[in-house]
Amino acid sequence: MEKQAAKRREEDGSSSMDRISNLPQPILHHILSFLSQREAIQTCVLSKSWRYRGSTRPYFEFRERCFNADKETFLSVMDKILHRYHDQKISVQKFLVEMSMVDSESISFLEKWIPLVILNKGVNTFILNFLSYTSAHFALPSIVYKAEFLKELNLKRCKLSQLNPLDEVLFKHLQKLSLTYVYIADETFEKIMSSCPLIEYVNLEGCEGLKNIKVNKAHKLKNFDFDDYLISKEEDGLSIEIDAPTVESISIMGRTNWFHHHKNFPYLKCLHLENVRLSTKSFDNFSFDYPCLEELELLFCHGFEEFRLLSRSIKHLTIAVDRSIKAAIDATNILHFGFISNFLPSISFRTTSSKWKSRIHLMDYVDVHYDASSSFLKLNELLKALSRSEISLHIEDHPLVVPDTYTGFNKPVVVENLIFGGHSSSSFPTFLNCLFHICRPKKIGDESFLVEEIEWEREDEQRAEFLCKNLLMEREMRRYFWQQDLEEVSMEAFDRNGKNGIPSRGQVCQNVLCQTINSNKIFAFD
Amino acid sequence: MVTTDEKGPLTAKKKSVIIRSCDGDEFLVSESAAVLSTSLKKILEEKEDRLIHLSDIDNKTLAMVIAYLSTHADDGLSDDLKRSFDQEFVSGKEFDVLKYLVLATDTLQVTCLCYTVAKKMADIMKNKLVEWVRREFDIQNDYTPEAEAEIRRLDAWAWDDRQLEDD
Repeated sequence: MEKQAAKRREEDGSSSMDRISNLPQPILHHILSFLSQREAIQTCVLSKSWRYRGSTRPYFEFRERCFNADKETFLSVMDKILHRYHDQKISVQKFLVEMSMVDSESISFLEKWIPLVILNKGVNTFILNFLSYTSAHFALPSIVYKAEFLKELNLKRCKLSQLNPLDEVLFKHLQKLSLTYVYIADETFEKIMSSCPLIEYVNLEGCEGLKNIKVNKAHKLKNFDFDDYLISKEEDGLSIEIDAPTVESISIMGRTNWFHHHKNFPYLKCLHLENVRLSTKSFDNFSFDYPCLEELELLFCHGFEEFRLLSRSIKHLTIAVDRSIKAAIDATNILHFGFISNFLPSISFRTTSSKWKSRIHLMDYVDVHYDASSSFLKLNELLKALSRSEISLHIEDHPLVVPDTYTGFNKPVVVENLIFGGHSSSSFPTFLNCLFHICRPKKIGDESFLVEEIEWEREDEQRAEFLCKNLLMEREMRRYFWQQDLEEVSMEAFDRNGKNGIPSRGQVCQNVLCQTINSNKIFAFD
Repeated sequence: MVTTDEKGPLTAKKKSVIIRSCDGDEFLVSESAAVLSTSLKKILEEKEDRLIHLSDIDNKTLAMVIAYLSTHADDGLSDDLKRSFDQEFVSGKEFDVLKYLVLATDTLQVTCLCYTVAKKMADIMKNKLVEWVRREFDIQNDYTPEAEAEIRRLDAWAWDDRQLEDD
């Protein structure tokens, strides 16, 4: 070894005149760590001083999908390189293996090398992923728990064995834990969590075996992501309990009960809950529980049909519901409020924010008990509640039945953007009549050109034609009451390639695929 | 033992240290910026001396490192702004400038900057043919053609052009 090293130094000296080779080996290894395994190996032919640099960098990274050969070759190349590392006593800092399937050959390869890599002590990043959806779970050797210098553990389609009470988990340096489609029992997860005091980032996606997830005394935790959108066979869903005073971002997706009562999150900035069961009381001590929360997303959560939300810190608030809700929101510093539903809510909104935006997205009207006239009244109330913001109203599908008489509406509310979507029908003119009683848009757009894949159908053309005709070309005909209020209307049209062209007055919109009726002022406002 | 605590009106002015480059020029740096370098932090903890002499870092490189440290010590800047500063910091810099920077950041133990610079140096080499790398960095190929062919044969898979690059 000595001799070899001396010889290498000599060679270094001979070629030290170039611009890179004389950098110290650890720095060159650091640079090489950003290259792929293949590129790193290729550097061996640069010159004699580079002979072993690329092949001795302490990073082992192989992805089957990037390897254009059969599995046998893939395994034998990895085996050869690991042999080289082993023979030269190079400890692997980063171990990354990505394969499609678990099979007997890969099992014997991994069972041979994982213990050797772990026992060599140096490994700080361990990534083992099986990508195929039909792959079985790979039973991870329990020796991995002994990797005491591990900072990052990332597993996909592995099975973590049940730990005995005497088994030790030595993850005292672990910062990042990411488990995707992993089989893990509650006790194992709890034991791992309680063994890593430095954990900052936990990501659990589609894991099986978990029922009650407990994250306790994680005093460095910054991010917690949980995503269970596919699995969760439990009737009542899972439960999640987080006690981590430093956490800055929590995202929970899936049928879960989140226990957070009497927990305070002084640094939480971002909270995203989807499909989670909450209660009306969830928001009772909002400013106390989440004093720094800036971004709150509540998507299709249950159990909070009526709530009050009071927060000085919230800047972005998005609520999506599949039932009607009643909410009193007091958000002093709001910048953006989003509401997505097919049920119009009853919302009161208080803020001192002077420039804020709101976006109302009304999805398909699927409610069989849909009552058009009360629905318009509710929309009117909602727009009024948000009237001090720059409103964007997106109506995905308009109702087929529209009331003929319009009474009880307030003064129309100014809407910045009005976007239509879905399919048009013969009731569109009546619907528009009704809509213009309650709102006056500055711009009108069509969803059909916002979403690229949508096929432009005849019905949409009819809508475009109707708007074009009555807002622009034949506005003097005064067919509708709102035409008398029209101001400077202009139109921008785009063809499929996004090319901008303004059709001449006589040209009917037949060939116009997309359009925006775009003006600073479509209507005359008081 | 030096602490960064500021007590009373007398010490209200921010503490600073003087760093001297190998060219002899001196730079005044706030202590909060200097301690972002693990080596400087250690020196400051060990002795009261406010003058630190760095015998292997030149003026130009030191000025750059200090600009980086000062920006990262600025509490008024958001993490996003700092990240975009980092990108800006390494973009367009010549390989030789990066080389001195990576050596300096290694000596001074400024882990974040060392990472950013090393990554930038690797980006320059990424997806390039061996011949390009040799030419760009004046590397003399001292292999005989037979020896080179033998090395290529040993790891033939790495030379298979059908291999896809990793992300």
